Amino acid sequence: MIAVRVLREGVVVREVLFRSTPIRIGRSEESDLVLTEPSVSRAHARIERDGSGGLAIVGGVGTNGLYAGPRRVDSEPIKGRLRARLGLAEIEIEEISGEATQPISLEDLQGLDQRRTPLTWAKYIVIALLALNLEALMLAEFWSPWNSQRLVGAIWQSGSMLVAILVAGSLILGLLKATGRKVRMADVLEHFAVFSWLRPLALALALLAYYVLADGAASALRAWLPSLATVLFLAQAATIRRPGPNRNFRLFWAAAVLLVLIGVELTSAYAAGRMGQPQADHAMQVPVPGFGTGPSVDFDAYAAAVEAAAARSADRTP
Amino acid sequence: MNLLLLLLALAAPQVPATSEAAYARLKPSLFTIEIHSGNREAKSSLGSGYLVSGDGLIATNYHVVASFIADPVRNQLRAKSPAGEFRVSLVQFDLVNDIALVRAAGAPGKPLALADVVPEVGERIFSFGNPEGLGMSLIEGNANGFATKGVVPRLLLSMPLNSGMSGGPILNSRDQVVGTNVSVQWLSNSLSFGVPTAALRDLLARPPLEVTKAALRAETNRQIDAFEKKTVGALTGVLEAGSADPALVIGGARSQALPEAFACWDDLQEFEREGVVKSQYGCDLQFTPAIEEVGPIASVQIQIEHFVSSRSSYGFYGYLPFHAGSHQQVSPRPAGDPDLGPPECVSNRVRVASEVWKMTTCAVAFKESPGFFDVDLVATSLSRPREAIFVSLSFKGFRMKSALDLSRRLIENVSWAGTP
Repeated sequence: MIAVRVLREGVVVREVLFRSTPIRIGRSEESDLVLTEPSVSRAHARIERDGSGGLAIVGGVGTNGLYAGPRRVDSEPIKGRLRARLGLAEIEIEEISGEATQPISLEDLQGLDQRRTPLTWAKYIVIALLALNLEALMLAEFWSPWNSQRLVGAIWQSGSMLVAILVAGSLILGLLKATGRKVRMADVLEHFAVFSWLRPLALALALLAYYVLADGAASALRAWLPSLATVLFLAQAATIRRPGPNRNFRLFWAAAVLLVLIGVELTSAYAAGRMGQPQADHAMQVPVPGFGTGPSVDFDAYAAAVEAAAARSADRTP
Repeated sequence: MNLLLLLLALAAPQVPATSEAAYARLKPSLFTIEIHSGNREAKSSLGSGYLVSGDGLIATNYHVVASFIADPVRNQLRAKSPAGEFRVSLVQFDLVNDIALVRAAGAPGKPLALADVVPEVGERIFSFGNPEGLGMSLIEGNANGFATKGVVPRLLLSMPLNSGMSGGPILNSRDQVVGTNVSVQWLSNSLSFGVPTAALRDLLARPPLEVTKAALRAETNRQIDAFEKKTVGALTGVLEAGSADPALVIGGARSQALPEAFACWDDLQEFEREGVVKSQYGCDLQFTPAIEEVGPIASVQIQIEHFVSSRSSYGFYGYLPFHAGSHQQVSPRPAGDPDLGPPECVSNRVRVASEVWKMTTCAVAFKESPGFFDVDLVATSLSRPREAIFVSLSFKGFRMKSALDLSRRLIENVSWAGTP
């Protein structure tokens, strides 16, 4: 069975089911699916089955052409769900199988337009705040004997994170809306509630890494894993309410955000170097039974590395 | 010997009846030494000096003429006395003892006699100099022998030297030079220091230097090199021989006693609200020399601290990185400092003897003295959950190998005093 849905402003307004091909689509009365939109040609396109049984949409001799996504095409194979534009009309074509009911995933749920109340907002915000506060509480600095204002600090932190969630959420919402995505604040907050947990998870991994990895590697993870969690968070945010397969799209955004992050990091390291600030890493963690202090080197190996660093300083004298 | 001293005393001029007379008698032999980098009226450095030979040889401090030694092309030396103003040329310098010889050809005045003996403890002395360039002044005080700390001999004086008097003569009551004004203890009362005359005698015996930028730089580096080697040898010797010395106890940590050339303090702080007890022990090597562009040479600061916490060990280790960071002393230098390379640091977990330390060492290279560095090392013990030993070592003007070797010896000597 082939479902052809007519969309208006991204929302399905009509669905027609066909048992056999070809399916003629156009403005003429002879069409199997009549589109009354004036920019649609009389015989605009056909859905056909090719020799190997695959479905495809094929353009006719229309004035305004056939578009699959942003590309103008003569024909386009239909795999899964295809969105096509005929003139100004938008349709979605999908072959419906008679197989067993498919379990749904979170991504599919985004297609449903749930009614969400302020209570839903509050739930999402509380869950996201829990994740972000957990991350802050996992930092040893928070438990330092010299941090005398833990409760006040945690409250202040929650407050500023609440503001941050709302500001960042509005920003993401605005950007997604600007790209024509039909998104609501609740979708963005839901994203925060789920993907904010990446950061405490990343931090936990980094803290554990200290006891099994060499000092430099552990410090690098400690510096980069939480940032990587942010990259994934943002890449995932780019797919909120985006229909269709998102893997490549997500990869693209992850790579883009990561590049920006690396750029910022390199720039600030360069600026600090130019200003002559020593870039020292003092990270250390409490010894734990079984793992002790983690891997270490002997003094001679360390001294050799220091001499090499000193030689770099000498090479870079102005 | 006693007879000789007596003869010398008889041969010396009579004790001055009054300071007014001394001032009048000695003033023609005293000079104000100035360095000009452009304008005739303004000066970039100011000090004092005194005639030591009939052919215009004037003694002063190295630090008075250091900027000229660093750049003899751009700077000019001048000497002023009541007889007028003279162009001056550099003859010799000793940056370790902080003295220099310059020649003002044709300068009149009677050379001052150098004393053959060091002043007695408690002996009355007087000194000349031009404080802040306001006018040649006479001050009186007492000699108190030699300072007991330091790697360079210094006369310990009770008299109020001021900036600008550097290089002026310190005289006994027979008008003989017993030393040269050199420095004061910062934020103290009338605690001043002088360079003993023996160092000046050595300098007078040396042949004159060639005054080109390259030759003076080479001589500076030769002196730095010799002094660094001497200091490292002395410290290494004591650190090796010292195992029999009574150990220092710094809270729950133990260390070998440090050489006498260091001035040391200790302190115990209880942070009741935080549940932390901190014991600390800090030492500075005294009277180390300094050169113009990069500052101290073969200077060492050592700090050993012991912390014990009665609270969360996880949080205790959350504090220690901040503590280490606050101690890293390689000072941020402005971008593109022409005399120094950028700081380069290495951090790792390092095993020394039976302890694992989180260690960070930063080094800054000297441009004009290849092979010399400012080196800063901080190390925090990692093996005990509620207790930590912290060692901070600051080496200024050292060879990298010397700094690392001394660091290893010092840290090897630090251990736990009790069981966890």
